[in-house]
Amino acid sequence: MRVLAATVVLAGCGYQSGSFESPVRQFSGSLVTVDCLDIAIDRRSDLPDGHAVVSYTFGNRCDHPVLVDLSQVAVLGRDSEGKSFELAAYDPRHEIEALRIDGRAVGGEAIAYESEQSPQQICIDAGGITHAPTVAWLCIGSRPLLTEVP
Amino acid sequence: MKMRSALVVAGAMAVAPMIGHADDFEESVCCVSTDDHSPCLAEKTDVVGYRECPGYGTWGNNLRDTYVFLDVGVTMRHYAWRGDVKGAARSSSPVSSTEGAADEAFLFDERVGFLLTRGLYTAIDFELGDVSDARPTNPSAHAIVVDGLVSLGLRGGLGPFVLRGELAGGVMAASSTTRDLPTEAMFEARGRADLWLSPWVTIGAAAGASLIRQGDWLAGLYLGFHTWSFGGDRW
Repeated sequence: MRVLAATVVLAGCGYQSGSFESPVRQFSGSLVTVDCLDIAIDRRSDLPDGHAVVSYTFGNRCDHPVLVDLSQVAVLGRDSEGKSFELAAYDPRHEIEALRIDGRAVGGEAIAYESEQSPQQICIDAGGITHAPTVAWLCIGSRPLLTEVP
Repeated sequence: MKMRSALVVAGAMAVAPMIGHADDFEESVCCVSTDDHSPCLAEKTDVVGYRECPGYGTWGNNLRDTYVFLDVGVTMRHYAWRGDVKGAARSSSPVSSTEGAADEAFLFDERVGFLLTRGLYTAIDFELGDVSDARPTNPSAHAIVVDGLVSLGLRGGLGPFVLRGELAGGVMAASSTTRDLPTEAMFEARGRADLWLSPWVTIGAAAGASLIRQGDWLAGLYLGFHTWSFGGDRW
């Protein structure tokens, strides 16, 4: 009976909506919910080549698959004077594409962004990840802050 | 005892197919091309564009492939006894025995299936087990039974349950030191009810009866493992 129970546990319980927890993924950084997706967005240390790195971790709150599109997300950088500029994902192999994540599943990616100047703050429209009609800007600087982008 | 040991073995066998959901196991499979499943080497970074392996989007890989399920469990088969079968085995004719005896078999059952279209699936069954000999002259004799079937069925979700109905056909062979049991055909109708324990795991029960041999029936319990959450029933 213990073998049976262990098997069931090992085979995996689904992601629990709003929990931002998973045994296989750590949801770190700023948390936001967009439609069926619970998303954690965190800024990591910049790479030696100067690219800023943002990690996305997401869990599907719904029982059905949903879209996760990190290729079309609007990402802005801000310099120390508050000036905004666009950041482009570093994707030399053109890998980043829109995919569906299964119901109750979790996933994550870390993406580097290139720009001519190092951003003090990075703002991301999390709503774009699911192609949601509403915007959900999340700004991450030295510490995560939720702000409105002017 | 047979049932308990069968469940334990079935559980152990079931650990293997923890397949496909999200990126739970992305560290052990990979690669840049979805057709290339060579092992990943450890890399210094997991940042897209800087890592070679695994490729982007392993968390979506399971939905790129066809929905597949694996059922592992135990089945009890009841064979209506057809008299002394030496040389003739069981015939495909209705039961001729007047003694009312029957053979009981406990079998480990493993089946792999996939969707043909929404709601229609096919599966391949493999069963192996032990059948007791109910002949009055030899009540302690046993035989090893193995069978393989191909089934075609319809499925539908009903709340936390999945209901399935299917037809299965195949062959069965048996080996015994005391009795000659040649290969024979099987054709049966079965019903199944599965309960979702998690998005990728079900526990289920099956019952069915032969369509070509009167009095033969089966009942089974099994665990099911699915590559799509809820088998894609909640899309």
